[in-house]
Amino acid sequence: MASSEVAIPQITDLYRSVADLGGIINQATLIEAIPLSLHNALGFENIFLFLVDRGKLKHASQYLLSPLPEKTFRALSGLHLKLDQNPGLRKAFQNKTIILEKKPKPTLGKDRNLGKLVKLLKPAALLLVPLAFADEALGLLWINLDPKKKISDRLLSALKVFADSASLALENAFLYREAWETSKTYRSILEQLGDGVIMIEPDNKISLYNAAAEEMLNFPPEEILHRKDLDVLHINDWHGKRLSGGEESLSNLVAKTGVYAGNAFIRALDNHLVAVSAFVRQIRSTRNEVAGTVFIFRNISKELETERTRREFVYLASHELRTPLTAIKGFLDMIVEGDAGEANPTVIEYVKNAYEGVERLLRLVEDLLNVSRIEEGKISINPQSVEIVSEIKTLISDLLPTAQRRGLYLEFEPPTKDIPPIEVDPDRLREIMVNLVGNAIKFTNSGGVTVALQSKGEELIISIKDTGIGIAEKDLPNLFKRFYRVAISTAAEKHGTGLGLYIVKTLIEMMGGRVWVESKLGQGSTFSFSIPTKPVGDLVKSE
Amino acid sequence: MTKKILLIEDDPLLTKMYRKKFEQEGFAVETALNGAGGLEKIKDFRPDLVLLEVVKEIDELKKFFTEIKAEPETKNTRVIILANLPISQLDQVNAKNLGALDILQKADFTPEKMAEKIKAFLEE
Repeated sequence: MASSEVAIPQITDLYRSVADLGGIINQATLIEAIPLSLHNALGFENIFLFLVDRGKLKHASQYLLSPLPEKTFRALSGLHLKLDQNPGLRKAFQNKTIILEKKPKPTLGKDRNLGKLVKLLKPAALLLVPLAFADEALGLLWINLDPKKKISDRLLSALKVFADSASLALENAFLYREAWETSKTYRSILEQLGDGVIMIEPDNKISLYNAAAEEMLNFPPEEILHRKDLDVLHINDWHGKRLSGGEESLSNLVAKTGVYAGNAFIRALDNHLVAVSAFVRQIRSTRNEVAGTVFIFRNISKELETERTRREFVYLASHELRTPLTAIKGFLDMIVEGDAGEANPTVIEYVKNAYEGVERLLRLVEDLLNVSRIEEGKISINPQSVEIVSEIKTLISDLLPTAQRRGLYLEFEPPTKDIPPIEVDPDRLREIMVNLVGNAIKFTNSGGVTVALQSKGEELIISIKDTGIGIAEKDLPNLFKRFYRVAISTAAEKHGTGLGLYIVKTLIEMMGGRVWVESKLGQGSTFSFSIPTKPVGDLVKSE
Repeated sequence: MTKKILLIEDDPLLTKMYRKKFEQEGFAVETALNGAGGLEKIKDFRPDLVLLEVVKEIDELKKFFTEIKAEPETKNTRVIILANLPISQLDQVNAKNLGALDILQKADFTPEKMAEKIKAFLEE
């Protein structure tokens, strides 16, 4: 062992060593560097670094003036110090105090391994320097001292400064490694995702372009990464509005709202358009500054194709069904009218039954057609100025024969005050009323139906009240859903397609109104809907 | 004098149905399968009323009416459009702007009612 005096530390050497350690983020490099750095800073000559691994201190690196035999290292790697069996060490960690053993003996401490280490490393005198960050023990510097040299207070405080810096550097390197591994995990998840993910920095440059995005758009990453989204991503929504490209950037799209979701087309490498379901979200830092934009998209071409085929089928089928049904209805009517000669009363009765069946089929086909038109966005609302009271009176007188055939009354309860003409689509209003009043008549066996109109604030409320069979509570929430049918065991023949109320709700909402129902089983139902009397700015218009 | 009706309809069943009914009601009936054939028949047959079913696109309808109006002999031909689908008020306005007397949804009219409607138009 060298017998040189431990020099008074030079503040510049200490400063340089500490600064060097702080700059090392690689954990392995840092572990090698700490003992060497301690030597450079404070002149110690035989230094071992132990690191905490799951509650045990394990040898990690060293700085030695003269090398140790191989078998010493082997023995060293097996000697772990358990923190919970070393109250003295634990206390040193808690208080960050340096332990100085002037004559360490193999009986040092309660942990037998501590004694074995003394036996193995043979320190004439020993310094134990805990490395800790906050309350967490990170490691231990074991310094073999020359007993002849004096340890000044100044040296001890310099050693403390070094220990604090080494601890901070170790913690940083650990956090860096953890962050790197986390980001590696996230990165590999992003690469495995079936959805395309593109990250855009606040300067609009693309910083991430995952494998799924590449597969959909075919652009090689070098043509996308680090370029501005408006230069390389050409995205339009389904109405042709530009979301990215030219002057528009996705970051502008979400600048105000923070989020965008909708269907869009993205131009791929060979100029073909990929139909996607797009989601764009602004990312904010913990300080609430805009930190970028994330764009997530899923290829929906296949779904669209399937959906288009399905809708085309429904549209075509319902369209094509009408022609033969009209012919059947016409010929049956001609038999009843006597155009084919006189038929006996039973024939007439049966033909009338067949006629009713055809009428029902035609109504079902019409419902299907309406739904497919709604789904294709082919239904438009064309508001006109309408005298609502007389319009409803006309509707009621048209529906009166149907009510009378079932022995029911159909009344109109006019509003208490005059209602000026309102802007409403008369065709849609008729469809809604025919459906709701038709249902009321269909499901009422005695009594009748009252239609009431009243003005409330900026809307008109039309309600259709019947004395019918009513609706069970469990059915109420589902009533306006597509294809939902209330199970009525006693009136199976009255089943429809389950589309009527869905159509009614959709049309009412397209006109800016609401629909609701109050009902009790056996006590009748009241369906009400509202029509805004002030023109709704952005009515859904299509075609 | 016997009134003449031209039915432009491509479905054989419906053609047969209307022809039977209208003939029973005392009309002379001719039929055509498409717009072009219909225009030919208008010139030869000189119907009092045309029931037009097959032409559905608005541009084709415009062309049909333009051609009728171009000839002095046919320009006063009265046309009713028959529709397979429900008709909106907008369709009504469009049909009348083109020069049709009316637009009727086939399924709403039994042959009996259709014949009544035609008689009413021809009496005007």
